[in-house]
Amino acid sequence: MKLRTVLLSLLLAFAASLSFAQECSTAKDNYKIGFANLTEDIVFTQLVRESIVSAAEGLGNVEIVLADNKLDGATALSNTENFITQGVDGIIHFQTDEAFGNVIMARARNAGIPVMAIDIPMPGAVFFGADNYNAGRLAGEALGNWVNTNWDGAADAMLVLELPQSGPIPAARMQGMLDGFQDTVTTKLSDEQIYRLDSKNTQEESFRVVGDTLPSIPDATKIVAITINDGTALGTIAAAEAAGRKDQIMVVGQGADPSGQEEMVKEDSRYLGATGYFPENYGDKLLPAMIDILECRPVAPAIYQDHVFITKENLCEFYADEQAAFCKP
Amino acid sequence: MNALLLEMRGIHKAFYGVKVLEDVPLTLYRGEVLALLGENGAGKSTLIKILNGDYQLDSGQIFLEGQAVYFKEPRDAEASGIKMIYQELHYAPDLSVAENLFIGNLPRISGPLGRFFIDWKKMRQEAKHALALLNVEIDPDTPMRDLTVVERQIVEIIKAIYADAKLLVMDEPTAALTPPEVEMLFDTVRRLREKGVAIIYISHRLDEIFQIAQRVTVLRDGRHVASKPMSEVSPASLVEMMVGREIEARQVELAEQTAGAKVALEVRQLGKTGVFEDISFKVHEGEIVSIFGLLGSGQISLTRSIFGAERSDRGSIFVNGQEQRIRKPQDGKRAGIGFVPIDRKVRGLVLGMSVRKNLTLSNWQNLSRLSFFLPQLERQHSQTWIEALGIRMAGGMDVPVRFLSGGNQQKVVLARWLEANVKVLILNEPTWGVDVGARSDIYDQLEMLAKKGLAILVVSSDIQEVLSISHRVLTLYKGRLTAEFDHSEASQDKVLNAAAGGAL
Amino acid sequence: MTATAPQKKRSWLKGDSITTLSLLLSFFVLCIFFATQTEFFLTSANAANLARTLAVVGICSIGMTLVLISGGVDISVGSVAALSGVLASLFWLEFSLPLGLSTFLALLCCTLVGLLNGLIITVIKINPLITTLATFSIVRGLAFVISEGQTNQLNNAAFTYIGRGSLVGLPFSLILMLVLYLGFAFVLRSSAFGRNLYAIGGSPEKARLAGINVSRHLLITYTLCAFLAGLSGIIIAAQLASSAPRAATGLEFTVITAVVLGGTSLAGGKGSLLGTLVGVIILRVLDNGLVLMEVSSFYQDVARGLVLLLAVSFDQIRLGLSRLRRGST
Ligand SMILES: Nc1ncnc2c1ncn2[C@@H]1O[C@H](COP(=O)(O)OP(=O)(O)OP(=O)(O)O)[C@@H](O)[C@H]1O
Ligand SMILES: [Mg+2]
Repeated sequence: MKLRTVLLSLLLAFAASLSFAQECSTAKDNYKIGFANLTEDIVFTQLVRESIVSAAEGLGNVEIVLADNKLDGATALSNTENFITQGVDGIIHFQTDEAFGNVIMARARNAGIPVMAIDIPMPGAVFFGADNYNAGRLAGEALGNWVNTNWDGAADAMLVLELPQSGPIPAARMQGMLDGFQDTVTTKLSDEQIYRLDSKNTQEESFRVVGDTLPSIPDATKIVAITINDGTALGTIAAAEAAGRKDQIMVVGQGADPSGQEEMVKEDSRYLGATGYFPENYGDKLLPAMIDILECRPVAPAIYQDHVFITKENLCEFYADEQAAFCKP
Repeated sequence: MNALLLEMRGIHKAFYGVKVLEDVPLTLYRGEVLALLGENGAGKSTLIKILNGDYQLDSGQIFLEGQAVYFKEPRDAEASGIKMIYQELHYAPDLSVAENLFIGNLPRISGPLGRFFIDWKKMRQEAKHALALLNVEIDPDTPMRDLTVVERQIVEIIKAIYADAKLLVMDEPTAALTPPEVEMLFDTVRRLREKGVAIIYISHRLDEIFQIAQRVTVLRDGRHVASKPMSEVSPASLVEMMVGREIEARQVELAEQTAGAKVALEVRQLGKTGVFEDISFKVHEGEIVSIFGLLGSGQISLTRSIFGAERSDRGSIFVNGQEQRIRKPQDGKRAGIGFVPIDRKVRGLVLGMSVRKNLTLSNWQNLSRLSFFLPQLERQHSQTWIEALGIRMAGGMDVPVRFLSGGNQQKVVLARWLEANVKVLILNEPTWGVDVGARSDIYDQLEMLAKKGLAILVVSSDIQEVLSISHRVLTLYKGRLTAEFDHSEASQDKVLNAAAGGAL
Repeated sequence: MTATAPQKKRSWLKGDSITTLSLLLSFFVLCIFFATQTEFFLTSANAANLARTLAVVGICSIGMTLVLISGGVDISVGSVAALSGVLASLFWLEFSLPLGLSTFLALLCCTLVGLLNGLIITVIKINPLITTLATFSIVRGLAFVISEGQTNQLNNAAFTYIGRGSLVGLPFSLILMLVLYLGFAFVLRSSAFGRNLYAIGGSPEKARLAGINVSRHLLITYTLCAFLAGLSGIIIAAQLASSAPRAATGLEFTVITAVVLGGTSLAGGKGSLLGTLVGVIILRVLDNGLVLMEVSSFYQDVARGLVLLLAVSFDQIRLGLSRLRRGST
């Protein structure tokens, strides 16, 4: 009994002395940081990767080790193991599988390596990424304002092109758009006026479901649509056009990809705009935060991207090069 | 003698390193029928499949009309005027009889697009014309899958004899045909022969060979034994050449029917609209009863209905005195009925599975101890049957049944049922394609089972078989029972006459 | 003498006509059901919407019908459809070729993919499922590589006409589809090629022994299938006025479902284009009606599966019954 207490207090004292002795054990001159991307198949994540690599080049003392999680939790876990064997100082994970989050974090914690998570939170990791709800709100408010000035503050119907199978993140965006719209518009929409449609994340599926829904709102001439991404927005607009009701719809979305930008700048465009996520500058915020963690400076548990609602008017401030034909005529 | 049409020289062929044909020659003259004889697995089908381009020879040469030829695909052989009737049936089940008759050679319309489009009218007419050759009433528009096995076989035969061939190969075309149908086929064959067509004819029925062939070539274990004019051979000498030793013609010895034996199977007033009507008969324990009928008399359908493979509309079935409600094969099985179907391709065998597995398919319980399956027991067990029936295969008991010769496949089917624990055994064409020697082995097995008290019901188109193995023969004509003969009073004439409705 | 059984009575429960008949029946039942459930189902707007959106699955299903009849299957159609849109925009936007030529070249490439499928299946003798599973993945990957994951706008009135335009009051794509159905139905029914295809599917051995050049027939079939899939892809792109590498995801399953629904057997040798057409329409009406009824998208998936099961088991039951009756061996 006594012996145990003595041993225990000895151990505690030892641990305490260790943590006081060295100010910050993880601080170094040069860092090796592992980055495992969500997938290399889509533009968004390619841009994230490029931004991290170029931010590292800018910093000069950071070496990046790359991996691809391929949208798969098990791959993410094995990437984690590889990072640990490769002796990285910190890990940046962009991975989908919440179930694997715990395992990955446990492995990293055992190895004493800090982890940051992009866009999809993991328990115990510092989060960086989109502020999905507020990003959604930006678009919703813009749409509400547009309705206030152009349609006397009242729409007849709203199409919600969501992505139910993909869980809480798209849901937060959709909720943000809906709340933003309802809070801004003069006459709120009732539940019966709102049509929730599954976009399945493809253009032709949104084309189909919007095409199927329009006949059931024959009398609506002021239709708003909130969509989960640019492709879905494009499908929605194409469906309205095919039904000969293009001028009865106004659409907002999320992302502001090149194809979305092109749609906004068209003459008589029905794409009001989309919230920008700026994956191309993720790295500029991510890496300094990671170094703060490694050098034991205080870091907020969640760091959010600053979002901007991109429209025809402000597009050229951000994407002058991409839309050169429009911005520099 | 006519001009030489075909010469095959020094043909060698091996499967899995097992030699199936060794240095086999074959000659064929215009306008002759050459019988090709040999035991099951002797290599007859292999030889003609090589001729046809279906298999490729390992070494050897083939000359057609003096020209060396080499066929890569059956269509090449066809282009040279060689037509085949295969032992195994191949057909497209959802195409019509007419289309099956002409498939690969569909009549086209005239005109520039004729290459692409079918002349339906012409096809139907020609089909009718062709079917008339064997005097069969089959609607050319019926889908092939709606025909009976025998009807399908006939379509195959007609397909080959109707085409304009120089050389016709028939691999056991008559295996399921009764004498009158065989006679009609032979008429056609004679007509073709007069036109100068040469025919290779394979059969295990020696009597047929003496009727139709001018010369005979005998194979044994993949080697050429002899080629002789029919005038120089007798049935006994042929058998000796095939088997390699003398076999005395042995009479099947039927056990005396003990008076007062229990009735094992009784059928009362069984009927199925349009197929058979008012069928009643009994089979006692230890008794072998045959049902004989001409093509399409309903005998196949009748036995299938007794087992439950199809449904009858009326009547009742008793096994061991108990009335049975039989509507599906499981019912038949539960009632203690064993059933060997006519079409071994479809229902009898799992073609892709090994001989060993097929032999033991329905007997797993017997091969396990404490419900653990014992592989060595399975091997022993299979070996017993392979020996008992003389099943022969290149490559041992683990080759897929698909690669066995036709007759050997039939032995596998039979073995599976001979040992199954049943009270009544129904056999359809039990010796379809089985050679002379093995045939008597099978008869021995049947006798032995009957002695043990099994009731056996046989449907066979082979009148000799029917006469020699049955205690009683029932004849069926157009779906009705016409006569019943005891073993002693049954004769070929009487039975055939009754089976033809008394019209012969 | 007559050697056949007494002539069996011709039962109306026979042949393919009954399959189509029962399908038409279920189609009407479905229509009546939806008509009573939602007032918008039987509107001209909805009819127009249905007419506009049949062609994609419809045209692709023609090729799949041929392939299934021949006893094979083609999983790669969705990927090929995506590739054709992506290639059209590559040739048009990147290589600055005329749009007509770009479309032609895109279709040509798809046809080549089909030829490749056919060659692998007939020459190397790899089973069709595995072959096309491989090209399914390869082609989809290529579509991502070529497009760099981007959605590209294809704004050209002549091009979008293919997907959105109308001729004599009917959507152009629908007319195109119907013409193709007529043509191919004729080929299947009356050409030697078509009949041989049934023979090959019913028994490849028989076909070979009967002297049919099986390889050549299969080669043509897979090539046609990929060409038609490519055409579907062009129609998708024309409808949406854009191409995306993710387009037509899962198209293969929709198409196989429609074809099987139409009575074509997965085992080969059996099927008709009339059946397929009805299958396509039923599937489309089912989706449309459920959207109009505002049924959640997950239940729509469930319903689609159930309808397939019901239709196929109905067919099986009918077949089993008539077989028992007929007692054919
Ligand atoms: N494709 C094959 N693969 C392997 N073995 C084969 C193949 N075809 C035939 N054999 C073997 O070749 C031998 C000869 O077979 P074949 O079919 O030529 O005999 P057969 O004389 O026609 O016999 P039957 O009278 O039973 O029809 C048999 O042992 C058989 O198992
Ligand atoms: Mg043979």
